[in-house]
Amino acid sequence: MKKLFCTLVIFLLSGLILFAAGEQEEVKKGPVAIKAMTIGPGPVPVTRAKNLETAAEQLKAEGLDLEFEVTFSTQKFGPYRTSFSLAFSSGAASDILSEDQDIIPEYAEEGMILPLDSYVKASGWQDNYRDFLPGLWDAVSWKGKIYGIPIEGVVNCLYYRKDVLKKLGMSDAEIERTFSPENKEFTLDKLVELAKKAKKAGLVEWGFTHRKGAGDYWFNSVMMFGGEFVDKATGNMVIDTEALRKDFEFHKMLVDEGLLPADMGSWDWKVIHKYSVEGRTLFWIGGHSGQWKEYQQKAYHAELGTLSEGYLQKNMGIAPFPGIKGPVTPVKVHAYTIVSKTKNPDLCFDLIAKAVSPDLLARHSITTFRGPTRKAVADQPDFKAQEYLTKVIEIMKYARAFPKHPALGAYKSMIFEAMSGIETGRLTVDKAVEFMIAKAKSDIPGVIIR
Amino acid sequence: MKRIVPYLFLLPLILLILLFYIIPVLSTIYISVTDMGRSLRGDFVGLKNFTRMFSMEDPVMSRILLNTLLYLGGALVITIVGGLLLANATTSLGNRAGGFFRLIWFLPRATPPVVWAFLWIWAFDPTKFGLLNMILQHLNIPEKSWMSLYPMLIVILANGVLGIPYTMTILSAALGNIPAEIIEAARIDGAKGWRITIRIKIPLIWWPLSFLTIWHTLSFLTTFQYILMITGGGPFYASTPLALYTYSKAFQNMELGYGSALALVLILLSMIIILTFRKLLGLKKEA
Repeated sequence: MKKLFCTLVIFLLSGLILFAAGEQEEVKKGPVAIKAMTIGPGPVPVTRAKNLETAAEQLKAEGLDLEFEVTFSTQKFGPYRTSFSLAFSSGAASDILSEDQDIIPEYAEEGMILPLDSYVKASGWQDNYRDFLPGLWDAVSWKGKIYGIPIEGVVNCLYYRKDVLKKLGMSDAEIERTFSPENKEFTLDKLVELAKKAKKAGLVEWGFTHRKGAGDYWFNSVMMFGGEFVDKATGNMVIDTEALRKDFEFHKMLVDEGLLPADMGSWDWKVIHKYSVEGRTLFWIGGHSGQWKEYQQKAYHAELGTLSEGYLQKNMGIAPFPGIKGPVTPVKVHAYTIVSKTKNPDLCFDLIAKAVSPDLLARHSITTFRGPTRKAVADQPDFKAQEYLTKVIEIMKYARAFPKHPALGAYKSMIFEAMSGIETGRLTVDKAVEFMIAKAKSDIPGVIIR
Repeated sequence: MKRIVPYLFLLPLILLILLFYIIPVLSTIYISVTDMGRSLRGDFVGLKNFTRMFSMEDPVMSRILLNTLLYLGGALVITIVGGLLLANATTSLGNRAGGFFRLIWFLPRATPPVVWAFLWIWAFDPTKFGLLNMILQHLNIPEKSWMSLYPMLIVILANGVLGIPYTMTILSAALGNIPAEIIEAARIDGAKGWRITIRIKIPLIWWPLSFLTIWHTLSFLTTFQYILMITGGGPFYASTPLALYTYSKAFQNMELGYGSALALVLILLSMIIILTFRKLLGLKKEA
């Protein structure tokens, strides 16, 4: 009996000690740890990370015991996404992830990121929600749910050389008028006509240059010809053969007319930008608004090195693409998302909400020269002072969101291969369309051919 | 105990092979029968990935296989013949001069891959800033779009030349080990120049030559980094061999299931090549 009593006492005491230890641990609980992973690629958009850091500092100043760590990757998207997938599978992924809109369907389908509707549509956030530019929420949504908070729009645009056009006899006012999206004569034919004149006069080596490799330009060019990418009813990928044919024929015509290099797909990036900044090409059609900043930071120009804002304003300009159904400004949204394995989704959203405040988004836009995502950014004093960014906002009126689909990467690769085949004379337009259909049927499940 | 000792010495290597070859191959086999994508989760799809490949449902597959053969054959000939010629030439120059030229020819191997690729990109750059086009301009000859016109030739050259130093070094050592009296006897019997090389030297260095042939074949079959950096496999798959296609499917398009099926074919091809060469080159008998 005595033994039993002793055992009971020991058992109870052990329980009490354990309980006390547990309580103590509860009391001793340290700061909440949040990790974020952001990407450039390249060093320019570092404010994607810095804005989160600033937001974390603000939360700490409000009394929150937060331990925040953000990684800014200058890698390309391929390795960045592979790192995330591996980290996610092993349970070591960050809580917040910054990503382009095109990957959102894939991550959403796989349950890797959280839907954010309950946060962004909450009554306390309605004013913020409405302040984002129309269309951007659609860019970060998949199957009716919002998965990201837009932090920037990568505004794809056409760069033209004012200095060359002036040598062709055009005045500043005429150039402004010609490249104004409101001008009804702002068409692809007009661009081709100007390119032919400039080339014939020996003012440029090429009328047009585009990017190398599989990239977003291939969506722009299909968009110019009114192409569709995703079937709204089924969500399946679409191969729009009519738009593709027009797109292929346009590029073939440019090569045949000597306005576009046949081997453009194999040019080195530095040479591509060199041609753009030195005025060796009239229209640089493979770029985005952020390159205006890049030209001020990287010495692509052999004589001048990095270019000043003044030089750029004087010699270069940006415009939307002249599509067959009117001006098109393809915009790709970059967004903060919340990773589904996070233990603190509410805190993650609070952090993101602060990081997308108008002042921080203005700082991001000014640093990167990419399009702002909120209307209130335009009222920020620092932002107002930027003449170029005002122009970016102007062409964002014609914004058309980039397509979203898990197989978009495969589509981008195959259209680039087909186009390089056409431009180098390895494929006819008919064969290229046939290739697109056959390859899409092989690589993209459920693809719809139109 | 004496019997166990050699196995104990082999054990670390066996463990490494198990960890870095057997387990990855087994994982590849598993992934190849799934539709695994970026999330690293996949459903079982049976042999769908293989039928997509072998039924030529993938419209570029025949092109990729042809490219693989062309690339393999071209690069191998340059590496083996080039290495043999240089080894023969440098060993006949004597130790000091031969060593000097071998050192010079070893430089490509000592060059970091990115620099090597950059040199080829610069040489064949299609614009007026490319090295060859600069030379053409001086000669008043129109510039050429080298990368579009000869992409396969460029990648064969870039990889083939890079293989020469290794071949040259091994074969120089092998040639240097041939007893001088054998060559002298052949000379006394009236053999000269190429006849000595073909009839005497090559048979005597047959084993290292065969080893190098197999080694480089496997290397060319499975490596693609220079192609990726120089031409990116284009234009329109013109310089894409199977290894690069496997990489782009698995890691650029993140089609891990299909990419693994392609990788398995690469592994099988490697094994077939080893067994075929072993038989053809008489390595089994030699060993």
